[in-house]
Amino acid sequence: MQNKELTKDLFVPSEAGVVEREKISRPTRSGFQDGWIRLKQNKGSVVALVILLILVALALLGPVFSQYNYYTTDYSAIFQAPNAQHWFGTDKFGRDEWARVWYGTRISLLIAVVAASLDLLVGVTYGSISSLLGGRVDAVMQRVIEVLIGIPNLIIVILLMMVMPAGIGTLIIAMSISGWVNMARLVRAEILKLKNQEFVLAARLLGTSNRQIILKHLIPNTMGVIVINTMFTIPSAIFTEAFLSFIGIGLQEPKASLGVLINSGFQVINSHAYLLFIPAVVIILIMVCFSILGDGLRDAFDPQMRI
Amino acid sequence: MSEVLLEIKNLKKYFEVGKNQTLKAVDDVSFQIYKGETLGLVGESGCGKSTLGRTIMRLYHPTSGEVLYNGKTISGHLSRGEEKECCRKMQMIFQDPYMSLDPRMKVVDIVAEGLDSQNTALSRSEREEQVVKLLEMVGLQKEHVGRFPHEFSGGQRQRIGIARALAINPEFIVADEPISALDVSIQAQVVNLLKKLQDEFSLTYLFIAHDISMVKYISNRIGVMYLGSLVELTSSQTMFDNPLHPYTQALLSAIPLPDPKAEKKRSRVVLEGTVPSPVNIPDGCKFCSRCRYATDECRKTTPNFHEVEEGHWVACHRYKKP
Repeated sequence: MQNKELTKDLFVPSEAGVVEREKISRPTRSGFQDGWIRLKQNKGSVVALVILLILVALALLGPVFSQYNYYTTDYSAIFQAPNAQHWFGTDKFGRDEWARVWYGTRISLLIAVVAASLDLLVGVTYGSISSLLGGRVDAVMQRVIEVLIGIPNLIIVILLMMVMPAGIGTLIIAMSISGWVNMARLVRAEILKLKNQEFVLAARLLGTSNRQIILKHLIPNTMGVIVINTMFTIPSAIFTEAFLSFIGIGLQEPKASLGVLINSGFQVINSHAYLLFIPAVVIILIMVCFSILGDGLRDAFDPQMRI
Repeated sequence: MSEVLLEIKNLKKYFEVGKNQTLKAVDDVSFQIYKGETLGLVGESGCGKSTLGRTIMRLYHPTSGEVLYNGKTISGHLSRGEEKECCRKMQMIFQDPYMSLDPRMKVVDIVAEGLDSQNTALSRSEREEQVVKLLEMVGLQKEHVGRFPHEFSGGQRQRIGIARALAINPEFIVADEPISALDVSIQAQVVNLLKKLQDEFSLTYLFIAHDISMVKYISNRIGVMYLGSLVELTSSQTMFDNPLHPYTQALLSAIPLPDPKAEKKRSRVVLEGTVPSPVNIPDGCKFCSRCRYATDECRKTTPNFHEVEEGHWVACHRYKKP
């Protein structure tokens, strides 16, 4: 290569003005879009999400495809194995299992979603007030939480079930009474971390009220933790409901939930295993998919991993 | 001298850090800030500069002492109306441009936060127009309003922080180490911007930093802090020409000189030992354990912060009142 002499006239000042220098060429993306893009890269989460969507769709629409409903009995067709008429077979009263499984899934999901939403509402409010006010208020509120944690969950649930009529409402209340505690603690920890950060101080100096600080700054920044915790609360609520129904203090026949179905399937496990097998597979799919999706969301929305 | 805008009287801020232990972050500090000037505040890490700034801004409740703004006490409890008034006149620029902007908010909402909370009923378009005006003032563009903070560089973020503080037309700004987290080439940009804005809006600054040469460049007067107290306060010229307090002398001798020949000849006053813990401050003069002129008097009595000559205050036994 030829060695060229570098002279001054080879250099000209760059034409780039202020506008050029300050320009950002990347398209703008919010934290949510960022997380969504990362979630899509995670194959396991996408599969889990698709399976969950299919299950939810079946829970909502499944019974429509069948000419039977979940409570009509037909004693001429009991314990039929899965066939063209009854896709999942029939149970001991000749009720269509297909309709019962999806109706049961719907009830289980409903209980879980409502219980998780109550947890969310109470937990987030309690946690943010406790951490933001701090001092004595915080100390008292934390002691209340500790007392609630100290009482075994099952005892609260069983006592409530004895006092109140068995049903969906009672189950939801029983699960929510102590379920919000976890959320409240997580939110409190997160907000304690945030509340002395400079952007919150700046907001305070600009005269933003406490309410506005919680709504505009603290909760949006805790959203990741909140969403992920909810994703783990839902399967655990489904599981609790199934467990309670299985030991016989949850929903009562002819109403169906996954727990009720598993219980009645369990009684005939030797002769008609499909009655246990089908609802068990559905509950396993729901639990596993929620866990995988929850993990994926945690990775996707972790602010430390922002690209 | 022009009129006093802000007066700090015997301000103290102690933190309880355990049983019978108090951390004296700001210990009996008094000074005045005149309208339209820039007062630089320097001192090493942990000497209470930021605590002082935040106490003035009412982020901390002072343990005792008073802060007067335009002759009115603003420390302690205020009514909601007074508090709002106070917010409108005093603003703060923060140290870390990465932490001082909410990562979940767009620039338009960050800058407009002050406008929103001051109950100025603005339509959407008026609000955005105001924000664009502010952004252009600090050298950013209209296209930036819909961006998120993580898309900007440190210097750009710091300018967004400045725009946010200016949104409600304050008179007085505490700049808490606004340049120490920035690259040297960007520091000048931000400092020049601050100077330009000061001329344009006749702002008054309390400029906190630990880079004494940068402080000299922007300030009219400089205060030096050591372990929670002011040890010297004078005009920046006098500070460099005739530093009186031994601590100031040591600080000044540590500035590297741009001229390599002069730099070679520079003699440093090296201080012995380390800063005593602010939890356990020695008796007498706070600096006596590291001062090469320390006498018995220094170890017994605390020197007053007094004026040795016109506008030159120092806390040292070696300089008596004339």
